[in-house]
Amino acid sequence: MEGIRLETEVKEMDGMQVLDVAGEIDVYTAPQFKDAVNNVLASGQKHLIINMENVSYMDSSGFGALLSATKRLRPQGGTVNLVKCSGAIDRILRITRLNTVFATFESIPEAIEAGKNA
Amino acid sequence: MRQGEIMQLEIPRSPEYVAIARHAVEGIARRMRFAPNQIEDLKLAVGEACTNAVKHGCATEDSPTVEIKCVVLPEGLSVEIRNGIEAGELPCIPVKPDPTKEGGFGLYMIRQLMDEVILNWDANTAIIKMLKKIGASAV
Repeated sequence: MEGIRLETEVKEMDGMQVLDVAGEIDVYTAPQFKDAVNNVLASGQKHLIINMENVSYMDSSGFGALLSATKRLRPQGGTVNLVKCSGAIDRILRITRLNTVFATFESIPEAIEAGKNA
Repeated sequence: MRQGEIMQLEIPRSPEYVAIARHAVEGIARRMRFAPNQIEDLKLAVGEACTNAVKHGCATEDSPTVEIKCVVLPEGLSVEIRNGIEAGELPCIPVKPDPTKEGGFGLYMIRQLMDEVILNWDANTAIIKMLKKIGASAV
């Protein structure tokens, strides 16, 4: 059940913190995911960038954590940016219309660029 | 797998077991040769239903745990999830999601991902019965 674990790591790229997440985000791992997101927000960074490349599953518990981050960032003009979502996650974002709330990108440099220009 | 065969799983009403339930259903769906995107739909729907059971359910004499029952049908896979609840109103499945709210996506997603969804709430048990058809896609 290795994939059920969640691993998070913050990397500094081009002057911005990028949250790398690997594993499955569900009701059990969502608190850990939320803590990792909050740690990046605590650094004062206006735009949250999350590398989703190694996230194999995310349900409404994960979306809730991202919506909570959006609520914190929006008043300061900040955004939540998801990079390299799987086809399944991308589809759920469309079904729930959360693709109108979170920006999605194909690469980290694109997300960083968008954050700098926002 | 033969039509009519039944697989049942009982998990404690605790978040760490939700993944076990959805991976078990994933295994069944793979054996039944559902398409990869349909397997993802099933995993997510089962995960959301079990999450609701864990978050909003409670242990009752009749249902101390969360029960997952899968039945192989000619048209696809039926999954029934049963858990104890305190007396309450039958929740509505939202017609459309509200992206401004942090919650309320679970039932909407289940309805979108599965071909049939029936909710049944009685005095102390909540039952959600879902059907995923092989070869059809709800969305």
